Amino acid sequence: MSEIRSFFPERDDNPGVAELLAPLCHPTLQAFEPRVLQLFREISRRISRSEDCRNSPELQALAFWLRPASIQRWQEEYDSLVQASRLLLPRGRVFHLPPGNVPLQFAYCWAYALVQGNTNIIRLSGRMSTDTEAFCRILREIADELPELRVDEHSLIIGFEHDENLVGAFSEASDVRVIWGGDETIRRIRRVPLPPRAIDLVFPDRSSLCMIRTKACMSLDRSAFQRLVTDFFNDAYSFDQLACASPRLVVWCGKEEESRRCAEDFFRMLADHLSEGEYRLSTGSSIERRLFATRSAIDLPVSRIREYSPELLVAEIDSPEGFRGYFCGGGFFFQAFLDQYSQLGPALSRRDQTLSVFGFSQDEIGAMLSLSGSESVHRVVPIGRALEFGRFWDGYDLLTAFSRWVPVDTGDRARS
Amino acid sequence: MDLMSRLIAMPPFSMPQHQKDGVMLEGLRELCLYHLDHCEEYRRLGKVFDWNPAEARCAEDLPWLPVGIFKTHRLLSVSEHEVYTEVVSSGTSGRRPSRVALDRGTADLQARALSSIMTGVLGKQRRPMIVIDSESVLHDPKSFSARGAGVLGMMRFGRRPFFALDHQMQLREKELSGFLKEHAGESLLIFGFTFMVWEFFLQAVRRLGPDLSSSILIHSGGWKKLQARAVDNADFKAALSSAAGIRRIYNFYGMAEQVGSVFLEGEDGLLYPPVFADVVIRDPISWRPLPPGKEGVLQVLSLIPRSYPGHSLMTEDIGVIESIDSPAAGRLGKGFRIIGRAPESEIRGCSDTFSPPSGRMSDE
Repeated sequence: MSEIRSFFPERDDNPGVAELLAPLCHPTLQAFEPRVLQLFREISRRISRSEDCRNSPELQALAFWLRPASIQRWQEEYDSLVQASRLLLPRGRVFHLPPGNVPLQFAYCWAYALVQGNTNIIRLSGRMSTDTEAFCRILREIADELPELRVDEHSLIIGFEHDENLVGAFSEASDVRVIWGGDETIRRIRRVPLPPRAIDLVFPDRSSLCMIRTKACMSLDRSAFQRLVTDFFNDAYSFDQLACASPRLVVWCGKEEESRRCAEDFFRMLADHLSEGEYRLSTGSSIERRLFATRSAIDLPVSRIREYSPELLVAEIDSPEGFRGYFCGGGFFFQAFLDQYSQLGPALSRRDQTLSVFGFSQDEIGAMLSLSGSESVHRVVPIGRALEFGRFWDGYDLLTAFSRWVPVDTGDRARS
Repeated sequence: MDLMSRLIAMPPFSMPQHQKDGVMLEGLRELCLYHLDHCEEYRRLGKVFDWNPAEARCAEDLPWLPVGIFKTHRLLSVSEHEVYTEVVSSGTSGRRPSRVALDRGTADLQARALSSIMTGVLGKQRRPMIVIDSESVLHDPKSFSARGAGVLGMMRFGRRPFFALDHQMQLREKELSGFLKEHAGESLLIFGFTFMVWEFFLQAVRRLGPDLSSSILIHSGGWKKLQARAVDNADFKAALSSAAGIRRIYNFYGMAEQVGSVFLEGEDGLLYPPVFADVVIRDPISWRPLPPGKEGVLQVLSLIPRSYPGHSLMTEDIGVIESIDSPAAGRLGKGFRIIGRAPESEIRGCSDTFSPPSGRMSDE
């Protein structure tokens, strides 16, 4: 078996699985336990105050997300779900296998599982990002300075090279397994057995798109239009356009001629924004993207690929399909034109994660999605909020996904 | 004589750059138009990217393909039954190899082109030859690996080839020693991949101590493994010179995807394109051509590929042009250096597996 490194608690004695699991062995937590809430407050406060963390938008976003006001809202939502006749109880131990390359993704899932009263094993893979290192360091500081929080009783962060035996050993000790990754990774891990009463939560690769109502876009004044473009930029370029929620297809709805003019203005303005240099394309991404564009032009019903700027290639595609699967990122967009937004419905797939929109009412989108049956997106957000992680993700309610529903009916009330 | 025959008949490094610019523009434009006419995928690309080769004012204005396209797509400008042989890249660990298809005409041009370049350094004489490889690289006659094709191509310039490695890639030291004794004092042709020359041949000649001062060593295959051991071209040459007195050592750079493009090292240690090929260095983001002295992605141009559209390719290597028509080199044209592979894109995103498409793209 490969060697296990333990990042939290930090150990350098090459520990075995049993030694690592020992402190976690007695789940004594309840949902929203004060020491867990205090831990979140400490993490949030220390990230906000730390010099090292100031320049990381990802860490700052996490600090904001774990701030007391936000946790307070979770608790209110959670409490409203629980009644005397319907409890939520922790599932037990959660084994997290987060994606190797969205640093800190694991922290969100960990927080949801922990607040519901579960103990956690987090297995990190790939190279450790500076954000992840900072997070582990803060966790260690808190454990040292505030031993009464007993952080190591509910959280273990480890790393090991791919090893089915180790995945198996930790799976065997788990009640929930959380798997992120490409289809092949998920298939491989799912082949490793779980105990009979345990469950998998899976977050496979997905792709995202954006839909704009041309008329609404054209009625914007210049500064609002500019804001829309900036919001789109943030959604698309934050993770090199490779986050599941980053749009790679832009669908324009309206009269084609008007849509084309609007799209032209939109991408020109985006190119202007890119020229300010906030986003830098790497040599590797640039080569990869050019190859992807060439393959797309041959294999997909692409009629034209335009380069608005070195960081912005737009490929016009005959129908809003073909954009899923392997993707290059780095500022490559498919673009499709529809007369009616409702035409998008039948083109959607369960492989689509986020639909970010501009210019549509809740009812319009709701009606369109209801007609799509099981083949549809997993969330709809306004442009600019595609990357905000939230309670409902890929079809799960993360505020309850790590708990069991326990109906309680003693017959008391019927008798009285 | 047509243009290609005229060029191949010339000494390979004899054309001043300003003249070559004209020749390349004319020849490559004709090839672009030819492939637009004959290769369906190339025509589609021309339409999607709005290529206008007829309006190009210099070779740099002409379209190019990323070299990786040959890993997933078989692009043909001849009909399937005209395909005479395929060249397959050796494809480093876990990567898909590239494939390009040659008809008789292109294969013949390639052979003549290689001959023109090699006779430039070897003369007409065919020397006894040592191949620093195993004979088993030749054994798949229908589709050659680039390594096998390289060895076979070079064997035409030597005689009585001796393979210095056995099937397990172990040195045949006793036989090598015998071969060296038999040809003591003669001028030999030694050919092999850079790393294998360093790993096997250098060690052997250090032990055997032959006098190879009149021999010629030609090697290729890249410096990556030697860079890891902090060995550069100068160290390489110095080691072989001190071990066996070899002074005429030529590195060359080439790739399976562009047959006939062999860029041979000059006396100044730089690589030079022959008269029917050229290189351009481009900025990796804007893709604009860069002037000499600036590092960028290497684009290779060649007038030879006619059975498939491989005449203008963007490599994944970083290089720099050091001189143009430098009098010191005794060669005309662009003298360039390869710095190394372009860094791979750092993949961020939700997926922890990075798998390029296994073939054609689709949603599933």
